[in-house]
Amino acid sequence: MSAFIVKRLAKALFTIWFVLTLVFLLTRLTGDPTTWLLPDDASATVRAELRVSLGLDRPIVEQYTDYVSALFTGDMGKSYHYLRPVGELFAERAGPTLTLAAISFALAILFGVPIGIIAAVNRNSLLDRFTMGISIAGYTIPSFVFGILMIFLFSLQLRLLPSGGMSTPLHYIMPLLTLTVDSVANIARLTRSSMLDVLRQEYLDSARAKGAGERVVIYKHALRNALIPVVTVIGLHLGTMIGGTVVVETVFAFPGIGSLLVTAAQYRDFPVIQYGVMIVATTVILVNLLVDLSYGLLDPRIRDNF
Amino acid sequence: MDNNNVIVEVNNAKKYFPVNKGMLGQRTVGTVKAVDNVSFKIYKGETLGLIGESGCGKSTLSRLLMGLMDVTDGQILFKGQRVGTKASKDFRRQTQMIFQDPYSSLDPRMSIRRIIEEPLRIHSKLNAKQKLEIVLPLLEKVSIPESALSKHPHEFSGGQRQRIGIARALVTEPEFIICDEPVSALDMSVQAQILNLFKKMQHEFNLTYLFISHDMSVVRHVSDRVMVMYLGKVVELASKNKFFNRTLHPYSIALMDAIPVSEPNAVKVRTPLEGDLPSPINPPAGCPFQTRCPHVSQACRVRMPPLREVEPDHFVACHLFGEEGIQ
Amino acid sequence: MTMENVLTVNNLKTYYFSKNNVTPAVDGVSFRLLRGEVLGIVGESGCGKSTVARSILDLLDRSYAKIQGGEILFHEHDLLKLKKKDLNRIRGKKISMIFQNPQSSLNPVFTVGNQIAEILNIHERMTKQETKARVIELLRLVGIPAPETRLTSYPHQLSGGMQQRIMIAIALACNPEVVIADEPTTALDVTIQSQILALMNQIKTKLRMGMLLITHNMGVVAEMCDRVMVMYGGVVVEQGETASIFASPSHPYTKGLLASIPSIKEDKEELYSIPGAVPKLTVPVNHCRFADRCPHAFGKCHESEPPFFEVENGHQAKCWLLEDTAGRTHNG
Repeated sequence: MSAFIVKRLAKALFTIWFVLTLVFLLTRLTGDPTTWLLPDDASATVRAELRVSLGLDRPIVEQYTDYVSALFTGDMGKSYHYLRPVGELFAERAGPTLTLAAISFALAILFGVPIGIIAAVNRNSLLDRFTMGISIAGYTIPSFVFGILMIFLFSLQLRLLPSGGMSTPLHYIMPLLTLTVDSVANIARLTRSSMLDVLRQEYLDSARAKGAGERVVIYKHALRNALIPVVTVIGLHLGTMIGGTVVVETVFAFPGIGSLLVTAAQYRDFPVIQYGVMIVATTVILVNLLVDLSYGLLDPRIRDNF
Repeated sequence: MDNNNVIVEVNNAKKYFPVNKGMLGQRTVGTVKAVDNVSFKIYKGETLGLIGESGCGKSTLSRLLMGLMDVTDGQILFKGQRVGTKASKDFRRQTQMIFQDPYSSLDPRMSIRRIIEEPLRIHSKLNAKQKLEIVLPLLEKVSIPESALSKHPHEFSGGQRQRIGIARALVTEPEFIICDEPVSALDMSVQAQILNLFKKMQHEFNLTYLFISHDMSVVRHVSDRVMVMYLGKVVELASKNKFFNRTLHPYSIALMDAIPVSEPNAVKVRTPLEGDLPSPINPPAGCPFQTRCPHVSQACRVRMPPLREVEPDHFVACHLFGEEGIQ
Repeated sequence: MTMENVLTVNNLKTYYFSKNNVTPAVDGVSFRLLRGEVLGIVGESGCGKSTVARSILDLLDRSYAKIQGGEILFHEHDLLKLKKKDLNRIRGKKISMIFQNPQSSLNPVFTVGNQIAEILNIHERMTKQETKARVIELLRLVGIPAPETRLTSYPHQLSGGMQQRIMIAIALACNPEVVIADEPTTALDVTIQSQILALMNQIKTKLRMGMLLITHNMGVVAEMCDRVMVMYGGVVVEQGETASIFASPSHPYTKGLLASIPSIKEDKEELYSIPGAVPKLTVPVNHCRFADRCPHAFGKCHESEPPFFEVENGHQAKCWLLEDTAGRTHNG
């Protein structure tokens, strides 16, 4: 088991390195950052000087080795645009984004899984059709459309909620809803189908034949088995959700990591992009590692194979 | 038997599979000897019954004989030609297989006509009319009405599907058919119909069968010779009469003894074989049956006894029956 | 020796409903199970034998199966009228079940020790130590070697035969009065089947429960059952003591079935075979269900359903051919 973890960690590190290198090369393909950092009428000499001071004049291999060695010292460089260390920039904005993502993630599981179970247990009932209908809607409407519709309704028409910013808890409601709807829908649908699959299994009948109540049959015997595929999707969802925060933060003018990354991409702010991608990649990879490990906890047949 | 009549010859055939562990299968922790040093012949026009429980290697052996995979060592010859994944098209035509599950072995989206004609598309360049001229008499032989041609598999019962499976196997005019548990998924009353059909087809088309089954009574009914496998090895091989009149290998005896007999008054004092099949991964040296054999001796733990002819047409691989024949 | 009735089924009707069809899966089945006896239900797929078992323990899929009538009496309680909560006090405790596929009947994510302990936790008041001791005792009873070390095994770590032993241990855990075994050896290899049958024989003598054994295998019936019912098309067509049925099968279906089995003891050139296939009924019928395949069918067979005719002492068959020679009974 521990050999397995070590192996997976090594693989995770390799993946992170690969993503970082890819992003490093891709950003440099997007063009020259100085176009955006200086006024349009800045002279060629000024531009050249800025390039030198940013180190962008040197051969790409050299830039890359510098970048990698800086990673090990923890020096992530300064933002071209904000002229501040990227670590600081992210530290400032990580709080709101993490809060948003964590709450949304928790809500998605808290609502998605039970809705899926109830729909599966009451298959083909009105309740099942209703929740699954809503969930298809939630799944198909793009989240930014949903966000904008909410702004129209709650901010402009009803004037109940603020349309942008993050100063009060009220500011979190609409971004959260926007971010969560699609995950709840997705997790609910997956839980339902996984549950339906498990509900046909003979071991549930053998539990019933033991005299176990229906609640025990569903929540002890069926759920544990049904969760195995659901956990995978939940893990994958974290990745989607981080992508989702970019959109949501833009729509709701919410100052988090997402909007920081969007601005960074616009200004070719290489250090910020690289740092952001590193954080996102690391989170997603770690979560997937946790998902893989949790299989073993949930399913002894997989545990034996470690 | 006459050696000129040999249609299939298996010489020291081995098929080993590595056992991999780890989520990515990165570690090899052992070898499964699915078929381990097996030699036998199948003669033209006979039915060789192959008996064994799950894990004995009978499915692997049948896949080897079909040329669906290659032996690890040894050789398999069909009419003197090597059999394997690179076997000729003509071999594929002459060797066919009938499967256990009539529900999953027919493509549900194909019409019966397409299912039966399918092998002809691969093996010949006949036009539609010519193909039909081959298919129609076959259908009649397996007692499926002509009206079935445009229907689909789900419209037929298990027995009818197996009849269709037989027609499909016969359409290329094969000489050798591997029947892999062809009646074990069928109801009792239907099983008899299909067994009778197998016999009838054999007489009519001079077919050679390898008939794989776990059911001793079925094997007795259809076979001329019987071969028993245990954990990848052949432990007994004999003509049917020799085998059933005088079963020799302790495993074969246990198999015979284990069959519940339809005679309620027959007082049966039986001592069921103890234990399970040992793990096929890295089995112990010597005889594979040593862990369950009531007659196990020191020699069994050391050396695998060779398959020896202890009386004419009766081969046994057991130390109880040494060079001097039956004691 | 007078024996106590533990389970009585009267005129049980369980139908399957689909959009266009009503399948009378079980269409008026009655029987009594005595303490200490093994009663077999034998028949081919679709004859209704498993539906009978599932009806008794309320394990039918309610989305298409409905019990249309009849009663299932455990002692004097009609199980069909019990509340779910009261039924759960009988399921597992008084009536337990062994299923066909041990591999799929054990929950893959719990240890076998846990799964045996569960039934004790539901029905018995025991301390943890007592439960563990009882689980080990049960494992020993069903012949599992080194039971202490097996407690923490997961089902996939055991062979099919061992898994079925675990299922038997679960079924026996609360000393039930009735055990329903639904094709308990069908999924197993021959040598393992014989081990399990020997175990079941040994247990039934030891514990004196009533056993309802459902099987398609005539050999298993001959070896295990005191009495047997032959089912066809949702009804019992012949019933009686096993010896009597094997000695003088009286319904053409039973006769055909016995004749169509290849023998291990002798060679037959051609097997007798019943023409046609098992019928798929789509509406309830009131004629002999075997008439279409029966070589002796005559007019009456297609017009009305035969009642049971007495062949000999308790041996009865539903066939009009017996009308003149045998006494008509009122039972069913």
